[in-house]
Amino acid sequence: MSKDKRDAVREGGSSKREFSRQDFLYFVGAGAGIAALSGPLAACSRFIGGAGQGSSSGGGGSLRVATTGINPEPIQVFIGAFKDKNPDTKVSLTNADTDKYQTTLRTQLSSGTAPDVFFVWPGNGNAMALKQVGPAGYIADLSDQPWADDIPERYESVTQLDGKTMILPTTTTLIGAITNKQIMDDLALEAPGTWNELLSFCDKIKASGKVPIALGNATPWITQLIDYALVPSTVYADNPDFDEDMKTGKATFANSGWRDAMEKYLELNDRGYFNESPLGTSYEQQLQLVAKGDAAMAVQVSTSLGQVENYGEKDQYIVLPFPGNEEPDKLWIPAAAGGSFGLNAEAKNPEGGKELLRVMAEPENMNQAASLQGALPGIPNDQFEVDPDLKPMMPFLDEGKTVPFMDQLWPNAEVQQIHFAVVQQLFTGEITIDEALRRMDEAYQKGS
Amino acid sequence: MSNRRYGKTNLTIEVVMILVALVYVFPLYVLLNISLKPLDEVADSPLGLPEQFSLANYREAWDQASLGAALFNSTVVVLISVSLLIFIGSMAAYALARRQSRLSYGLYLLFLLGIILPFQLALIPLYQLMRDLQLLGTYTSLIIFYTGHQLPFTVFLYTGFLRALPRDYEHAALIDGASHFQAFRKVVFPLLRPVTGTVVILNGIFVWNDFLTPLLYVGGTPLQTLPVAIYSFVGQYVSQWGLVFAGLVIGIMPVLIVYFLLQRYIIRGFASGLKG
Amino acid sequence: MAGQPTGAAKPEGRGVFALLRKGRRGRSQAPWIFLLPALFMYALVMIYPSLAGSWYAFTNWDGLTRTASFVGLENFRQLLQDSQAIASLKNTIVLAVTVTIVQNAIGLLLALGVNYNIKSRNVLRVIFFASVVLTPVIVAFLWQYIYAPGGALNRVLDLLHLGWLKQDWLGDPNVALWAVIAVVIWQYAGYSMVIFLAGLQGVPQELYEAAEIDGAGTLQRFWNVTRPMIAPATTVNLMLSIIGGLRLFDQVFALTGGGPGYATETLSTVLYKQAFIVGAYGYGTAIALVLALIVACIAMIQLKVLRSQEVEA
Repeated sequence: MSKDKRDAVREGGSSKREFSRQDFLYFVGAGAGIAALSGPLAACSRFIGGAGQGSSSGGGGSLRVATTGINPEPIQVFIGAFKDKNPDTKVSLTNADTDKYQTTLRTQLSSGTAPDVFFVWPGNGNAMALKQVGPAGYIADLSDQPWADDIPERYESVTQLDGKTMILPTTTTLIGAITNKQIMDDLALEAPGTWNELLSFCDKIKASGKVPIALGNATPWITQLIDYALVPSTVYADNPDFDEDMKTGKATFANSGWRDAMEKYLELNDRGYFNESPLGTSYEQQLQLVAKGDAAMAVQVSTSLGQVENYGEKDQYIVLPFPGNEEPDKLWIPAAAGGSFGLNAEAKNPEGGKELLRVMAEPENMNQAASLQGALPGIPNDQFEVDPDLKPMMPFLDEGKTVPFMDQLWPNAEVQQIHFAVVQQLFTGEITIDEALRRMDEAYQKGS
Repeated sequence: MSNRRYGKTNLTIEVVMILVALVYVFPLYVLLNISLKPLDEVADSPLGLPEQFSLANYREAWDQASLGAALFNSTVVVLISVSLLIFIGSMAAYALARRQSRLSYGLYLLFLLGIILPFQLALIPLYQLMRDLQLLGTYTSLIIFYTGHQLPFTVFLYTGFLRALPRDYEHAALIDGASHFQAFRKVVFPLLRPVTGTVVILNGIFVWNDFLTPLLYVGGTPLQTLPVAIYSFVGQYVSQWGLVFAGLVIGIMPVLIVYFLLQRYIIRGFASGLKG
Repeated sequence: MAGQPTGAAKPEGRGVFALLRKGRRGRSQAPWIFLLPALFMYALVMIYPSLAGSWYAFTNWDGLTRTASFVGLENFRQLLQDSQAIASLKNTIVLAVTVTIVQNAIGLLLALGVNYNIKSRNVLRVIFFASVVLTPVIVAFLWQYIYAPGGALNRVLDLLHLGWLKQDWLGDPNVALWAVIAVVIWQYAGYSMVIFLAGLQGVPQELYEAAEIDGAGTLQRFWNVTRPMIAPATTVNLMLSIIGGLRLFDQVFALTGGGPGYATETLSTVLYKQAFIVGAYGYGTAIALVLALIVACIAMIQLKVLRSQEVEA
């Protein structure tokens, strides 16, 4: 302190300074106190960092993995198997729900701090899909990996960029009607194979006082499912190259079987086959209706089967194909590559990442993870034991009567968002089917 | 308001308030209820009492998500951030509230702007700043973020109340030869106890519950905070809600306890704080 | 302050210390240095990054790739023609204004109630505050249960023979926004309560007793004694509510995602979807800037009005 200040203090502090010597001591004391308290912490890297994330240091390395949407068990299968082979590697896992995941990963990718291995949606159509993230150069080319050639041909369009395999699909998911077996048995009903059979199926259920189809349109991503279930039969069965036609502009939503699908969707509503107020019912509530036997069916992704069983009992439900037309052999189903993983092109531990992916691709691990989710493995193999509840869907896979989930082949993420909104608006009666299809076409034509 | 008599008015008000509270607390009852049940019971009767009072969810949540570590991390971040906020924020508010110049009003508005700005604007540049400072994956990154982010709110709160505080007390201290800082520390700050208590609890909750920033900065590391740990149970298709809710109850309890204690012991009235 | 010459003494040292030693108006002013740490942290964490981030509003960045092109005011032009975004502005304002008025009214009543000398006041305070501590995902889950067609609310209405009041609370586009508003008010009434309590606890007993002696009734005591004394708390609450309400995102997004259709879409949900889901980060940032501008304007007006009402000590 300057001599002047000291003099002033001695004179009784007539000039009001901001901090006196007393204050100075106070600060020093407080500072020392805090330092002492946090001594053990201050010394460690929890405050200082600099070690960076994901750096390999000497002996063991570390691997960063991020995933979403998968319930904890399947990912633990993969990580557990990986750790068995690589006990020295520290694996850190982040799991966040879809919106947060997309926000976080995109931020990290553009900032160069993304994990080594991360979840990627196949194809296109959402913010963290292959065709959004890949062209920016963020994903490594994995064509040289042993499992790359095993990926079924029908998934090539959604797992490859320019002919190079970029991601590993770990599951195949289907969309069908999760049906309560008890209700079917009680009413002695058989699975419907055509649209009219479906209608009479529902009639009988309704007559018995139960809800034929549970629908949870309050949750946005549910709204698309019935359209997705119908469109393979109304559009692709007659024109498997529909997506090519859409790209060249030869086909649009408005002049295709999409119209038929939406009309059927609304017809189900008009006939009162849905629960009361689908727009006020959420995903969880929809599943509970089927789980408890208050409703017979819920058109859902097969991976929801696990949650239905959580709410109800195991093995009480079966997944049936949802027919969309009158010809039984033109019944097609949506079956898509599901949760996929890619390797960060700038991964700090690329070898570890590739190793994890190889572990994931091993039939034993993939099968186990898939069955935990009510899904099929992404890479088919003979060891897989199909859950009996999924058996009705298998013939379609074998015969190739499948279509990827439609958003995987759309050019941008907006089309799907519009689809959600227009379905809800169709249900409130705010718009017509014409308007709905027009808006989807408009979004599609914005391109990528 | 007499502190001694407990008359008819007091009783009426008490009854009314309790009734209001019962209605108000209903959703929380649902929350607690679900945390004590397995999922299939939830589907059966979401609102009824659990058949078997089971703490299984709590145990499982604690283990699976390493809630103990997450609690520790959250506590460290909250304690340090809130302490800094009180210290820095109250002093800044004192300066702003006691000056009448246009400059100080301008600065006050500048701080107010901080409450108005959408967080998306700063999200990516700040993240990249942390990356460049090699602070990702440390407590420090979170502490810096929360301190900076909550300062506008803290300053706003303190300034609002300080403006109504009479200056006589600190003037007396200043005349007696105290430095500004001493006047502030010994006279003004104690008078602000109710406000400080409020600052502590409101900032505390924000930091305690914040999800996106910890996910970005420390997600996947052992420094993960409580919300990030709890939400690892939430999937798009399959969510173990019982575990989530149990985790949540574990997470809320400390905050509520702190608030309760703050109420009883720290936030005392003007009358008792001053005479000393 | 008697006897102290204002500004008469020359600075006693050189340089920085001299500058810090005296405020321009004399010694009784708090020094600028008290502000420095706060300004520094604030500038570092919020001002500089927000300015840097605002730049994206003038680009077509998608939030992911490493390059972006400058597009000038194109995003803003697009915004003016975006009917969905403009429609969401109406929802935003309705939500903010309703929440501000009702939430604070309830918060004040709660604060008055728990400030009274009743036995359960401490427990009650914690109960009313507990809702504030919940996270949006949980709040959404709970209220989706309550609002479900066969959920608690409708069932209770049936029990009370008020079945005709039943609604599809979250599914009916005419009702959904109000249902969301009700949830927000429920969650944050305790927040307002806490701030009002801080104000109420600063009101000295003597004032009430004096008023009582003068024969003032309860309402008069409130109007003449309590109200002016809690003016700062009122200002703080009203400002925070209007700003928070205009910017509200988490609860709306978790409860309805902006639906059904676009019925509960607010500027914040639109901005989030554009920036992070659709991949139009630049456009989303432009919306963020416009939102900030709107909030700032409304906040300034309200602030002017409120400050003129405050009792200056």
